[in-house]
Amino acid sequence: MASWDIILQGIESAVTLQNLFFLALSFFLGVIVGILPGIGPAAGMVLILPFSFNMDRTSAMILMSGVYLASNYGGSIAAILVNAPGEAASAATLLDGYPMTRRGRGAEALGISATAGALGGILGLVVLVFTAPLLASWALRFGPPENCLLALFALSVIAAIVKRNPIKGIVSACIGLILSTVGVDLISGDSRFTLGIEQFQDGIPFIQAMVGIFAISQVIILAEENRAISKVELAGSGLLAGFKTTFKYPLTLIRSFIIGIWIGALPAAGRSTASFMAYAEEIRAAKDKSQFGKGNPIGVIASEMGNNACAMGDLIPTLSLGIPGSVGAAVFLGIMIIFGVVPGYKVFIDHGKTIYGLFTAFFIENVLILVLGLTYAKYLAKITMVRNDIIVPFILIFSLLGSYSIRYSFFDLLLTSCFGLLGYFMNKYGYTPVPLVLAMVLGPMLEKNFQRSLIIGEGSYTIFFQSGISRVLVALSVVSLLYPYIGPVFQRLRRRERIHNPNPEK
Amino acid sequence: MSMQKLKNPIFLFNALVLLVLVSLAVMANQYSEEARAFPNFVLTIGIGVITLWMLIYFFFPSFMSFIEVQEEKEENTSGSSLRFYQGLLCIGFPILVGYLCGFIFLVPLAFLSYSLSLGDKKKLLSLAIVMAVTTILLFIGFDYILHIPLRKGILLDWG
Repeated sequence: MASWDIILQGIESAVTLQNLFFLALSFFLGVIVGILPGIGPAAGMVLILPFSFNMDRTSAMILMSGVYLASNYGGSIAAILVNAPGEAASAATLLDGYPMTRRGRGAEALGISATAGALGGILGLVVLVFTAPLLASWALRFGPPENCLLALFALSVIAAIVKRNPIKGIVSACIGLILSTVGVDLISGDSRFTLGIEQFQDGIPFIQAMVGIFAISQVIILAEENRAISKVELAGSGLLAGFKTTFKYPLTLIRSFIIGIWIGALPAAGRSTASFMAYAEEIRAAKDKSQFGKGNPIGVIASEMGNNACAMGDLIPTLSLGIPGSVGAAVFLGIMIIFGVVPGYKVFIDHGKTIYGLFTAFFIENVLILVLGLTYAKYLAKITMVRNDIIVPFILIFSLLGSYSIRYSFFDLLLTSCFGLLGYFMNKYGYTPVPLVLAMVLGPMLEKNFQRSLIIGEGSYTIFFQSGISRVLVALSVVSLLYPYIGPVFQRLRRRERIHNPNPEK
Repeated sequence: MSMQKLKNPIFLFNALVLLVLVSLAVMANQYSEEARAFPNFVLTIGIGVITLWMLIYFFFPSFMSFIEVQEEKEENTSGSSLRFYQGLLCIGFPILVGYLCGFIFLVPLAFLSYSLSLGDKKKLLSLAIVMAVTTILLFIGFDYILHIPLRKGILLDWG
């Protein structure tokens, strides 16, 4: 860590009038970029990059930081209010955020998103500042076998989700896993399930698919039911409704934070992985799992906390090792190098003023997310009461143009529409989309690391049991898969024993 | 095997998914061993699970309650099938026009087609204002601020 002089210089450089103006501008732009599906932080930073060439290094980094961070919050706004994930990581938020909105609790959901997001960002920043090199060295112990087993462990939560409808849940997960295999297999080079369509060579584009499954399917449902997004009058729109709800679940906050920061520290794991793993973990830990997907605030807290902690965690390997933790961090790394800030263990000393100025900017932006998010939540939530014949075409256009803007491809509009139909029928016949989405996010991580592990282990499966971390993950995965079904049997046996033997001491 | 069971929409959906999975399994046989290992594993589980569901559905209906819990339907969610098809048309028609004539027509057409077929025809003035403002803002936003070139239609793109 740098000396206090350098840290103070960094803080002073961030709070000049000019840099505060750039911070506010990029924050606002970041929220807009986040709201539009497909234009994620990476594209947003690249868009404003040309404007930064005439700035000094610190100002340029601060300009990028707003887009990098605030796009998360923008993505959550779209996910919660109109069921359209602005970013891949927001897909986990909408699973419970949008159902909350439909029940008139949209303002509360936005408040939770702002609070959990800001908290995850601030705590993540603290970890980043004080422990970045240490965490980065630990993260390097996770090789392909460990990453494969981590994905398997996260996927094993499907067993808990599908307990009430196992067949439908497994079908949904299988569809997701098969969709994740479409495209060129990186190990063998075969094009799998592309049907000769060139646009499928890189796989099924995730955001376009999610926009279809969630937003377009909602367009069809809203058209069919002829109503506004919120079925009931807005409730719980008090300024602090979401703020208070967030702190009612401290264990959720802690678990999701640890998952988020750790996934961020793992190179190339990504924010969507963190938000879904945090969400999945809360389902696993909950006593009543049936409430997830129906407007459970815990789902929103977990995904937002995991996502925003990961945003800071992504910078741990980026700054310490020069290995980006996500696509957004990769673009951030490229921009840092353009401005001469070369990452490595000495970056905190050689470029301390810039780095600590950047950290100060992140702190201010997280506070802005909290303050503005809570202040404007109830006004934003009024969108959900807009009449049907205005809001439905608006969501449709917003989703289609967002899908198009990713690859400038008309094919993506058709793809999004097809996924919209799939999402509609899945919704209608009781197939929860959670296993499908989890499988699409984690399937590639599972398969690629599985293949790499077998190559490293020369075809031997013992590689999955060699390290201590792997053995722990194997055990956790087995317990996680079997416990939802065996657990109740043990509980019943214990209850019977208590009935037959009420006084065991005698 | 009663006709009623064959007409059940959940059965039809599962049958369609089964057909797709079997087709994919046949397709996967053309790939190399490494490429088809994971997909075959997933397809085997998917096909097996749906086949099991069908066996229970047709031959052991009393066991259906063990593998499926009917979720409670939310109140006031009854939709109209006519509105469903109209909704599909309101999605498909603007996309088609957008493809042929450009996105400049997709935006206003999405509003117009929806409100004329499914909306409140008495409030067309407010709708027209929203439509015009949205079109202008989207085009300024995408074209001039974000520099995302919106598509020109194949009929109108002479260059």
